Amino acid sequence: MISELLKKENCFIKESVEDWKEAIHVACQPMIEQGYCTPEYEQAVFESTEKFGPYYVLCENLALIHASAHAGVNETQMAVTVLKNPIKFSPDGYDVRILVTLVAKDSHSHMEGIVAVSNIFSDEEKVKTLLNANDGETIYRIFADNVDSQ
Amino acid sequence: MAIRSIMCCCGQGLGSSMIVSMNVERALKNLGISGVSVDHTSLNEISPNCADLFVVGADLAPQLASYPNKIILEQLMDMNEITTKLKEVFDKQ
Repeated sequence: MISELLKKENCFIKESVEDWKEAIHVACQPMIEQGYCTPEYEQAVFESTEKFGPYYVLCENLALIHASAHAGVNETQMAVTVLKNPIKFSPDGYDVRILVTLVAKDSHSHMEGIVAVSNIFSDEEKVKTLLNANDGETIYRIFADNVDSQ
Repeated sequence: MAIRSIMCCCGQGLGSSMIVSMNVERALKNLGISGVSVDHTSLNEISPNCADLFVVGADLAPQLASYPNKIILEQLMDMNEITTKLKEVFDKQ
């Protein structure tokens, strides 16, 4: 069930962030506050970014922010933040407006959420709807409506 | 050699490799290719014998330098690219 993986109250709209570090922080904070992971998780994202670059920026507009399953993960969970203003994670990288936070305790428990991400981002109209969302409810609905393999 | 298994790889084995594996499955279906298992994992966990074909993003391609059978994706989420590259590989069989 997508409702076990993504909570309506963890779908956010945010005007803007200062830089990519704030983007990571904003994306991870609710997961830490709710105990799905420890602050170690956010730290691991920063450390991996220093080492490998922004490996989680998958295409225009999308950052699938995550660290490994061994970095302070308690429970599999996701969050989504739609930024009104884009942010870049590297100078020559994509503009990103959708931050999908993924906290995964193993390599399969978050499958349904990734199916939704895959379905949404293979359809320009769906991405547009997501970018134009004005509340968390709309964001949640788009994910919930796209959990079936297509 | 007939390709019966495809392994999609990324740094953590959680995010992009899982999305790519879904796109590979979708592309195979569109191409009418069946009987191929598709899985995903991290680069730390693969060996050249664990699959017939490997799929990886361009940023991680150097780590698969010694692997003979691989597809390197410039755009991870581009269905056209993955479909075209899979077709090339399977057409050669």
